[in-house]
Amino acid sequence: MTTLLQPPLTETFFYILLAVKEPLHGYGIIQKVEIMTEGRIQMGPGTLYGAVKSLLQKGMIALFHEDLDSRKKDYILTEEGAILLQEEIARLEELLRNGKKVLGGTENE
Amino acid sequence: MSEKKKIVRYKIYFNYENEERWINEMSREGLDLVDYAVGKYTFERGTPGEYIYRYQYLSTETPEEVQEYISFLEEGGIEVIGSYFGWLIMRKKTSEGSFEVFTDDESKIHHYQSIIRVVNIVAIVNLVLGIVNVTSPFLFNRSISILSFSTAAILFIVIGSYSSHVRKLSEKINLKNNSHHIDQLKK
Repeated sequence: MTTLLQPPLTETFFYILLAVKEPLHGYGIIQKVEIMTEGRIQMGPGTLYGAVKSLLQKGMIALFHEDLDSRKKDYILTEEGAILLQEEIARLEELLRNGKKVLGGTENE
Repeated sequence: MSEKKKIVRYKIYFNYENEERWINEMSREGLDLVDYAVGKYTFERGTPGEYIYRYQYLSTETPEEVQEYISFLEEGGIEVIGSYFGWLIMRKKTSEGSFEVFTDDESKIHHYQSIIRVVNIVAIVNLVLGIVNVTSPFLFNRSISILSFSTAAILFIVIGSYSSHVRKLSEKINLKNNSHHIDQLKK
């Protein structure tokens, strides 16, 4: 059982974890999340930077590669991060299931 | 190469949000901030509304980390106008879309809290300075005391303003998540 990150995961953390399944750098993460959410989430640099720091500290992501010239850093999801994501997705699926069952089902309640 | 004319204004701000608002007003009027020193703002004439300006306070970053962050900002088309005592003044072209430094409540709260912490220290130092000098037989010292008390008072009001923002944001989060997040913030 993972971590010090309690559910629910904020959208910021969730989407950053998702974005770095493959190695990706800071601005790449922001762009990928914008695409994944069809423009709904346009992460600010301060928010991204703080969240990346936090996720690194907690071992959910790791530094994959640092370019020695441009100092650009690529991050990647760790095993712990992947487990955390799976748990969160399972939690969200439960919410979705029940939400659809109650609201999406019989309307004569 | 044309040297754009520089316009200087002198002002003192205690609350960075008011300062940021003013800088953006100036930008809308066609005056772009290009340099800053305490109390002295240097502007350049430009297209009205070309830039959006934002402030950010970095409390725990080493000089190398600050440089790294600035490089990261530049990747995204953000230009850093100045970097002073942890404060970054940055700008982005309005044509490139909306510009916010913090886009979720949690990081907004963290930012306010890091600023409150520092302003608190400065306010308390001023309070102590004021108390120490208030009973002095010398007019100079008593004047320092009045100045210190005034500064402390203004700073406490500023802290009050930031704190009320934190309260409102925390309530918003509480409403959504039944206080799970407040525990997450206390790390």
